[in-house]
Amino acid sequence: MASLFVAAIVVSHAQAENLNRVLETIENQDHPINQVVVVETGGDQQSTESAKRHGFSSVMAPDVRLGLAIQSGIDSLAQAPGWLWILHDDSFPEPTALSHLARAAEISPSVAIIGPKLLDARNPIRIQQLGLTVTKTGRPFLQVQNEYDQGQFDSSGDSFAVSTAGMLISLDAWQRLGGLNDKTPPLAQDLELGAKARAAGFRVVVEPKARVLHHQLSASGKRDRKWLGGSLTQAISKSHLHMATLLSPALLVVLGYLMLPLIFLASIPVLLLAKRPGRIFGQLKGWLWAWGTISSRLAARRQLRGLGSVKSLGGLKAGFSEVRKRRKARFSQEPMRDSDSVAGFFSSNSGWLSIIVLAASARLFPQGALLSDSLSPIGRSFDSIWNATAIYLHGGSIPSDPFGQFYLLMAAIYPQSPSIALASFVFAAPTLAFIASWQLGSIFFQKIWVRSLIGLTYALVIVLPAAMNLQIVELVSLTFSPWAIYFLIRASRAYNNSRAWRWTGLAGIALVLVAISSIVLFLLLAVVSIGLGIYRHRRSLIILAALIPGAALVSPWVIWIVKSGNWELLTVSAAASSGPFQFELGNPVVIAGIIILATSMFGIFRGNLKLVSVLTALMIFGFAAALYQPWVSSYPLLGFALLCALVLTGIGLDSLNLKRVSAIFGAVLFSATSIGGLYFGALASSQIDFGDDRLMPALVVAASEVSPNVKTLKITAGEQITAEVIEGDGISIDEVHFLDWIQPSPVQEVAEIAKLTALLVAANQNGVAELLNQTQIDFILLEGEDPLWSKPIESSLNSMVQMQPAGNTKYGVLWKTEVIKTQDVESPPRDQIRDLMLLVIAGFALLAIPTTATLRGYRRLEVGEMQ
Amino acid sequence: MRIAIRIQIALLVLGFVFASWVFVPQLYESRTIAQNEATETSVDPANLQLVCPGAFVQVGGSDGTYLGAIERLPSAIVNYHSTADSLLSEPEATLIDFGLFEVQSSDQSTDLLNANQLQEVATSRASGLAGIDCSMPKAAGWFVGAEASVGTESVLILSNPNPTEVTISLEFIAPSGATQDQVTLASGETKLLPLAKYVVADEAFAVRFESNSSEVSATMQSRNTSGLTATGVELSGAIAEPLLQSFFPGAKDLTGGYQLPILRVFNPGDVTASVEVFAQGAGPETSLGVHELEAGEIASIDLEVPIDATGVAVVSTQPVLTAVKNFVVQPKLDFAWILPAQEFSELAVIASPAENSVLSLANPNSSPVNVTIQAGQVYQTFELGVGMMLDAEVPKGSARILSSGKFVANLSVFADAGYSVLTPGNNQNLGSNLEILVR
Repeated sequence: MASLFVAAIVVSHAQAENLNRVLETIENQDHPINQVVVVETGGDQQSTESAKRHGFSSVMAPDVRLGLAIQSGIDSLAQAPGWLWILHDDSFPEPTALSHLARAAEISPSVAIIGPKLLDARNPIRIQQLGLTVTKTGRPFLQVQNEYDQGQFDSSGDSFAVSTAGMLISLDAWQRLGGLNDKTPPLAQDLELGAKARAAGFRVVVEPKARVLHHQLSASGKRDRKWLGGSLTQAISKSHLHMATLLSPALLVVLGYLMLPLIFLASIPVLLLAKRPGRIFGQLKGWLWAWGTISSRLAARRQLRGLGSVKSLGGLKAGFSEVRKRRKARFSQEPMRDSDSVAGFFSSNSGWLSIIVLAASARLFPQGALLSDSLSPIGRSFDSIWNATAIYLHGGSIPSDPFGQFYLLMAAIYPQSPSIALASFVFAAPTLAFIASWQLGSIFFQKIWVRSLIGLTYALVIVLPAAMNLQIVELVSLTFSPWAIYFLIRASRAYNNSRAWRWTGLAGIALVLVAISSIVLFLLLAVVSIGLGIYRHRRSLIILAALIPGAALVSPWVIWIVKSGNWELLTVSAAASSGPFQFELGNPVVIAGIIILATSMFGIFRGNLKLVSVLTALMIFGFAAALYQPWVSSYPLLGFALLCALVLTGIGLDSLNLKRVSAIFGAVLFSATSIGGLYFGALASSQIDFGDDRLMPALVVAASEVSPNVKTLKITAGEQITAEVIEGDGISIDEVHFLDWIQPSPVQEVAEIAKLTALLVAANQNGVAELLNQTQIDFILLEGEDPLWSKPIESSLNSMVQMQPAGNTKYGVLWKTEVIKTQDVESPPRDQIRDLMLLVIAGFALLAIPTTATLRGYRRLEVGEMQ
Repeated sequence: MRIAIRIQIALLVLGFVFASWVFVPQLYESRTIAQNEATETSVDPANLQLVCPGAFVQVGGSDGTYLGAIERLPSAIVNYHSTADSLLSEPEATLIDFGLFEVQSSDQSTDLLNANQLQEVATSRASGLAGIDCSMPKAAGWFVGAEASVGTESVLILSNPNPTEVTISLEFIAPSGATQDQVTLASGETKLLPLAKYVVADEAFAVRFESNSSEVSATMQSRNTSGLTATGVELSGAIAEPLLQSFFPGAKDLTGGYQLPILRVFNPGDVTASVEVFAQGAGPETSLGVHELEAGEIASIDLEVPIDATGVAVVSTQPVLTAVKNFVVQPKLDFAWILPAQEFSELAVIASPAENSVLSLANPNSSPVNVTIQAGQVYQTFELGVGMMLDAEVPKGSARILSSGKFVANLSVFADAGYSVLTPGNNQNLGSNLEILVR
């Protein structure tokens, strides 16, 4: 058979050692090569000398662009060949490669481009590539990828395109097609060339018998990113966009480019769900690149269409089934067992112990709104809580309590009755804390009984008292801080970045709840995060990202504190916080804490020294912070310190090898924990009442649903007459803000209310009408248990002509006034800051949602490759 | 080496805990949220109204046999003291139906207006002196002196001085059980309710009234007989609320042991009350015994008051309603219901309706007070020690009592027609110097 007149063009980029090997393989070809030119694009002199040593010519290309480099090589040829054999400095053809390629060229005159079978140079029995194509949308797709070569693909056939690594192309075709377009993204150049050849009527085939070993330096990130124009992922995205522009109908192209911003926005939640948040920036860059280089895309499209019809390309694109099959293959690894734990929470039957905690919390079983002297119901609807918990109050002058967003969460969980949601949380909190501390224990302890014991102790002795005393703010911190620590540690130890992001998403949400309930504890956990980031520095950014939503939510509060210089308020996050914790020996929690501290000594002497040092330091920090309580309880910090002490205790117990000693120790501690559970739970003296979540008489509530600016003057009759203006349907706990408490009301308002109350009490009509109109009071509510005081005032009110009796209610005696409403309450403007914060939290929520792979226990191959 | 580090860590923990427990609480003070201070504001109070209940009510006709016959026996005589330039309303000097005093002033007290009525009753079935302090209308109150056994009769006199109709709920609590009723009074209407129909011949029972809207005048008329002999009449006002401590100046044995004073006690609460009675006079007080009253129990206790005592005081572990029935035999058989004396601060003015009136004073404070009584041109000054009661004779006319502290007072009227005790009240509406705490 006649030999083709072939010139080999080897494109090299400062890979002298590889180049030398390539040149040797060229020398070993059994098909004659008339000319060999080495085109050095990296300015490496060694490459030039290597070419000289082999007796080949070389040229220095002006830059890295492949098309220009190849053209430089063509231009340097002494004679115009019939065919060009293009090789890269990482492609090593077998001795018979060229001859097989040439035979394919000779068999069919219409064939203009022939590509070899590319095999992995590190593992020659694996097929790296056998032809290139695109998906229906234009995304680059390898027809064969990472398959073992068992001869199953050894029949030659048409392909959409072939890689330039080992490509044999007719010079005529090269010239007619204009060669490689250097304005095209590098990973799309081969595809565009193949498409142009097809459009011009040429055939592009793969010849599997021609075998070339390929290192794939570019795709594996071993080349300078400048060549790819960014990361591999970005390069693939650009190629996708380019090919879609070339191949899609014109209308779709126009619509597609116009919709790029929407596509970018839509990709954000998708990428968060896929645990690839880093790609969001890449998506943005891609969109901007697309709009910025649209002229080049359109020029390439024009050129392609000018060569002929692209209809024939449809049959060569990858079908949906191929794409789906390739996606599944990414999860083809067996589900991995987590080697860190012996058994999980449920598989170890520790889940049954939750019943103990639930039983201890039985008195808290939700039967209505929780009521106590220190806790009034929260708002009755999502809307009312939304309005009450805006980030800033009073036109932006002061920030609202950060903890208000927790009430919003309760309202989001059960909008019809947020009070029930809150009551349910209080009931479930000790159990959640038990599960959290058990899971946290699974990181430190091997023995199941130790995890269970530590979990029960934390739940029954530390968390349960807060629940029984309806200390909502402290309860949130105590429940979610162990979760936050657990998620942070899991993020630092995750198998891959995607898994780490998922744990970070969960940690972010848990840290939000900690931040809004205890800023100081959040700061302490931030220190823990930084420590974990330093310990696992590769994951540091991912771990620290967990702090973003919490920091965002408390930032208005912190900024205000910094501006006002009132640093003590950093210890406060809610008006509903309890008073300072009583560090007295008479406090049962203090006694329990002393016992826990004593048992932690055991762990200090038995555990790993580094771990013990860290835990001890955290315990001391937590305890030190807990002692400073200028305004409200620091119980969450004390709880954190005791949690560290419990972990130390658990470490000590876990190290016990003598079964009998372990059994005795365990039994004693378990009994003590159970007693604690009974004492703090079923036998606790706390007053827990459930009731209606209504705060005002039904008439007032109904009126406030119609009009938002209903005001009620509540007069409490007694030795001290008290007057209070209540807006709307009552002051629920979400409407009480700490900074309002410490800032006095405007003097004029107080004087007006006092005067009006005095006139009403004294049954003096003079000026009542004017004051009612000034203060816009719609209802008067008289309460007072002592009839000695309440009856005379009731009689006074009954004698006032402006008062219409509205009946006796359980809240007191009610009158409707004849006020002329003049004030229109404007709807509060949209709180854009909160919208932004909620968006950030939503992002982390998306990160937290597990992928199907995670649920099935599969692990994704992390190598960036084309589909 | 490692064990040394561990020991150091353990000591660090223990040392830190100990040191911070001891020292840190001293370094700062926990803040408390400052409460708003009460705003003092003065407004003109409502007009001061005093209602005199009117003349004695005769039930059943002159011989008591006419069924359904209820009529008033003329006339009650009104006495009053006022420093107002003019009164908005002033009843006749003699009353059949109720009489209304009304005065407008921002500074209200007994000095502004104080009134009472007295009536000498002398019929075959009723004999004695019926007197009562004309008091401010009330929205609710109690009577513990109601009786419906043989030889006793109680009539409830309800008057509505308001311009609008009012409905009054009545509750009768007797050992035989409790009953309720409701009466409606038009504006200016008076209803006379013999109470025998509400109870089953109970010797003693309590009555509670409550208005649904405006305040009303409520008075209890009591009549005693012994066989065919009339042994006394009295009018008594309502007690506002149960108290833990009550003073009865003037409650003493005026019969030489013939008929001891009777303490009527009613425990309206849910818990057993322990009641101790003290006799007070010029010297140290004397305990007259402790009595246990179960929830809802009403008891009548004879008081063996020493001869030198001026009155009694009652102290209870639970709020109770009390009154003392005091008897005289000379010049006529009569009795008076002595109600818990009202507390005055610094000044009280009482219109003494008769020459032989005795002002009885007590000191409810924990320290002595100095008291000066001015009646006409006569001044009497006393030091009233803790737990002391004393009497002072005052002539007819205004008696002004000035004190360095709080005191309580009753006025006992002795006349040929009989005996009555007037319990003056604080004639003052809310308005002046009100302290309103605005939250």
